[in-house]
Amino acid sequence: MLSKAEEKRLNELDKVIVEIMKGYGLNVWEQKFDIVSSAKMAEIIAYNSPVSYSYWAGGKGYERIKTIWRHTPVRLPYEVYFSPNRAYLCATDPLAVMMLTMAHVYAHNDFSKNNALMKTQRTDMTPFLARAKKRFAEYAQKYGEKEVEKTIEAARALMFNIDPFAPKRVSRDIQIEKRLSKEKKEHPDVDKKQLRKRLLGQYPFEPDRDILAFLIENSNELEEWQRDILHVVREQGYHLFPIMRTSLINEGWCAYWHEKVILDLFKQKLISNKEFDTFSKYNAGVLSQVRKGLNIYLVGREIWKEIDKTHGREKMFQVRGSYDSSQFVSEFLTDEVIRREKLYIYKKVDAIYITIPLVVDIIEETNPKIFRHALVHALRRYPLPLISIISSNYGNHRVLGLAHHFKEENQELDIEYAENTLQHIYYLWGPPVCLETQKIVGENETKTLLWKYSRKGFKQTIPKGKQLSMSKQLSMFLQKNAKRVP
Amino acid sequence: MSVQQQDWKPEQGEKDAARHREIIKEEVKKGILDTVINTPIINKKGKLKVRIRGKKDYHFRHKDPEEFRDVGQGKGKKGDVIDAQIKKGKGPGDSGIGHPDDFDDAEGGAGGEPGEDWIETEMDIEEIFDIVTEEIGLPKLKKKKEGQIEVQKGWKPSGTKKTGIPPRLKKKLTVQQAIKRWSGIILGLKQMLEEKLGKKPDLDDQHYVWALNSAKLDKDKAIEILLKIINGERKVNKKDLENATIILDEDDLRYTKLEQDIEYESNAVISAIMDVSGSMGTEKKLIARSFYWWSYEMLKRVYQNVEIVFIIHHAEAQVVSEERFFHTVQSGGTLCAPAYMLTADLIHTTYPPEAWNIYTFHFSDGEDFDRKAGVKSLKNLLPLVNAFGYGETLPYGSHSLLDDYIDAFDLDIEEVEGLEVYFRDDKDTYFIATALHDREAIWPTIKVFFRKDEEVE
Repeated sequence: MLSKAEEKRLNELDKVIVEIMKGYGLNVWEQKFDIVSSAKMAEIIAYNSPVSYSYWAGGKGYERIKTIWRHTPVRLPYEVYFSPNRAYLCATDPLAVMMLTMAHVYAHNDFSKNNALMKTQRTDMTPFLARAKKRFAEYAQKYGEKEVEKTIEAARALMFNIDPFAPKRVSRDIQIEKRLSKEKKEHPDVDKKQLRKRLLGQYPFEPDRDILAFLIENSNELEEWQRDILHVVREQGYHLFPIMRTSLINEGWCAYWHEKVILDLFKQKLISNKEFDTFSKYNAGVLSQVRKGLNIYLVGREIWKEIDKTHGREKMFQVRGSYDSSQFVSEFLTDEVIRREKLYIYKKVDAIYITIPLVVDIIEETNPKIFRHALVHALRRYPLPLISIISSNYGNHRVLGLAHHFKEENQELDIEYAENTLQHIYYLWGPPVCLETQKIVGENETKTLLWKYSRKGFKQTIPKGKQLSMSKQLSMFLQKNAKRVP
Repeated sequence: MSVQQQDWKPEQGEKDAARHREIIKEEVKKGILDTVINTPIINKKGKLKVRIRGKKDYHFRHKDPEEFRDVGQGKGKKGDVIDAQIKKGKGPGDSGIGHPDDFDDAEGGAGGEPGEDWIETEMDIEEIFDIVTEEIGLPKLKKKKEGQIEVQKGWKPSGTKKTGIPPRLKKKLTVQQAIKRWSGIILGLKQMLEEKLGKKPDLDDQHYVWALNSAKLDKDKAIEILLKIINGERKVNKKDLENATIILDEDDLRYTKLEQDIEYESNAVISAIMDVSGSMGTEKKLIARSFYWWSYEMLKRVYQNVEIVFIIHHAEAQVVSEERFFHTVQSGGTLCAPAYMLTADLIHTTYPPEAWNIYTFHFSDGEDFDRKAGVKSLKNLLPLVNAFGYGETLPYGSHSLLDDYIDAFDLDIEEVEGLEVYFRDDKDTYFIATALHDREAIWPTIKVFFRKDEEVE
């Protein structure tokens, strides 16, 4: 529990921090900080939102975080910022850590306000979720907790099966009307009712990555309340996507600024020696090297420093305005930084020590060019396998046909996860659901597989020869629209 | 004021966590015992703290690549080893660069704890035993000519109850129950229709079943549908009509109820031997104790009259109380022979083989300062016992004592549930041995050591 004096001091420092930030040219929204218990903090982190509807996986994360914290005597500071102006500080953190977090949050605030990708985020996400929470609780009462739970679980399985790169989605009915009037112009004597029915059967006219939107629009199985749940989860997917896409550039930006600001506070004698020591200790923790994995705070900050050194402050603001992580790394992670920071690619290999089977991690590559290329590739990749809906009448009436973008990824799908996700889609769709994917059988050789989920459960088959393979349809479309692929 | 203290409590974290635990428990009950990692930390209230893997949050994802690669940072040149772990299971299960799960687990802190995906929860012991005791029993149990006494044994079906575990579901009875319930509903629908129409509706029962299915069991909606059919506004596909079936409700489920089955059995004695010497580290002892604790508790429930003699040994062997057996800490060198000789002495003085089924189990870390003496005394002991089980709690590496036993007793090898089992099963000898590299081997070991004979005399 903070004393009144401490609380007052943080409020005074808040004003100073904003002034320092503005002095450097950062452009922030007005910011609010709430100091909360560590249990509340764990909940906010687990649900990825200050307020959320209830679902079991959130509880699982909540419990897991609390367990980890219990076993970690000195933990790293957690910054939790939600656009545009909500942020949380943990009551059990030392005062110096709260100051670090505050400075860090202001930099997030600046990034959210000014980065082009982040600007696509809706700014009312928190009240939006607060309202959803209320509605979902009512649904649980009215339609049964089990059904609501099942729907939330199914929807969340598809949270990132959206299409963040697509221009604004045109609704099915408008698409059909467009085609209808075009055909009518060409063949004036066509039966409009018949034609509409035919067009409906051909929908989607193009492969559709936005599975959630497609289900909301086309499933005959869903009740209104279920569509609402799908809609909310889809909004969350679109909201989180830019955060994922910018995590390295964004956290690096914040690490760069929080250090600068705290140092200024120290220089102005607004924080004591002891506090500065505490800050330094925690800051070193945040910016420590990771042997296996990437510390985005550290690597991000190093890149920003390099930009400042070689291109100047002006360039920094320009990059902050329009880059995502992969562009940032591709252009500014120089050979020198890679060498100085001792970055490498490692791989796991099997080994045997006397008779003990081991898995050994070995440095495979330190060549800057190869390292940069690999990191850019990883950052550019969509977080999940790309999957598109190809047909809503695959072979039989209303059988949903999906295809995996194997050619773009050259990576097989995990069958256990696919089976369970297909079961979720089947639950939301009603009739059977099919997914076409590839299995690697040799070098440059694959075999097409069809995974089907129906009333009889999960089945793996080989697609029938007569049908034009969905993967083929997909690649034909992608070739035509090469520029749309991320 | 921009910075403010709040006394907000978590809103749904606890409730959702409880729900997650509940889901997991349901799955454990369905028989996925492998999810119970064997860490019995027992508290006094008859609850068991178990570690259970969390329920997975499914979404499409890539298969783990054959070759795992990731980025890292720190000193080293090409080819340097930065870390090594003992291989477990099928291979590296970690996620690679930019994996979506990194995001799921993102906690805002740098690095973040990797943290295994498990939770600790409490389960009622009896609930667990109810499931597991079905699967185990004493092997090679014989009728003894002398000293046969009455004992209570196991459970037998006696009537039915409304709750239970899936293996005990009585399918036929459950369906009958559902039919009974549906007949009632259909009768009700007929009466309602008759009221509305003013005459008896001319529909067969299958129409009602179909209508209820279409209406998702909503009776009012079903009536609407049926009225439409009668008025010719709606047609039923013949195939759909034939395919309509009654739907089971939780209320219909009937399970076998079990009660104590009193039978006449020969008596059995188990000598449980455990190495408590200095080289048995905490983890090794924990594995041995877990094995004994689970088997002891299970056998107590299956056979009411089994006697268990607890023997601990280092360089010397002694009979101890249950309490000491499960809690003692000892040190010193290791000799196995004294423990085998002590068991043989007990058989000669107290438990003659003519009257008793005798089982000996021994857990050790494979260290024996005088292996020749150990093998020799075990050779003397084997003809006296129905079965001998040996568990070696050795973290990965070469077997020590086990290798000697494999040679000396000419043991065969077979693989059971991912476990290498060494055994010999002939007229005079029933010898079974496993190496327990980690806790996950405990339950499979219990299952192979206590494999009930197929035919019971």
